[in-house]
Amino acid sequence: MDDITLQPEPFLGGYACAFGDTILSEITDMALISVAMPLNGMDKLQASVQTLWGVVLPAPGTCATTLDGKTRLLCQSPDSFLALLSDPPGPAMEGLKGAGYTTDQSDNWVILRLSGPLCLPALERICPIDLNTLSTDNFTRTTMEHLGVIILRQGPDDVMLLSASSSAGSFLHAVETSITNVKP
Amino acid sequence: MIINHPLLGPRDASEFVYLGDASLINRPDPDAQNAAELFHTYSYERANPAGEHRELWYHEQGDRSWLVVTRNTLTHAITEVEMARDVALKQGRDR
Repeated sequence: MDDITLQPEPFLGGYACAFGDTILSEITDMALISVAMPLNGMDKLQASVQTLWGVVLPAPGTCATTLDGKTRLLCQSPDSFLALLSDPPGPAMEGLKGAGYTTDQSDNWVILRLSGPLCLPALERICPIDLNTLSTDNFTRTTMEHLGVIILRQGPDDVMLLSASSSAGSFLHAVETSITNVKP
Repeated sequence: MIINHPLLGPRDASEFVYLGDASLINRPDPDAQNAAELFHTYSYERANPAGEHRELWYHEQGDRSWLVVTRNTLTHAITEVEMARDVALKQGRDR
């Protein structure tokens, strides 16, 4: 029998495109895990997160970043978190030692980075949230062109967009089209 | 229509899914003697008021929380938004 080796492919083939000074690119080197808090498990999860990442559990709608900047913990709702990792997810999932229910979500989300002067003008056309109220290092979950999305603001003109990998092409098309529409 | 989410602030109603009367939180006791009658009422009978109405909304495109929204069905004016979890806890539920 042939020895088959499978090579992982990025959802959008490692897409990257410049629209003047605005750059839209796919991020392919990050992992994502969801962490659900067991019933009445706040103290145990807090202790594990503190030990593993050295951060306090963030409040809903906010995120906590580790000192080395490699991990971001996003609090989606009072008992649900997403950890965005620069490293493979295995050690983090084991490191929580069962204090939270973890699932590797890396294959379920496509991650885009949009930076540059057209960032906000392009997004405000397809997003119902007032992004001016979203401060740096915070995130929100909403829709863009009917597709669910997490927007993580990394700077004044720099956002990370996470959406379902199953509709990655449609999501990219929506963002690309909006950038083209606002391009001077 | 804007729903002022208790945790996340003002959100467009398009992010939410509407379920209906907030009395659905109060599921009857299945072991009660008249359980069939109670479940019939729970499933099918609604007050359907023309005016203030407490109803369940699900923040599907947001934080996936259930909210109890008090809305005037004549004007769509929203006067109160609470986390359904807090409402249930206040009523003595354990979660």
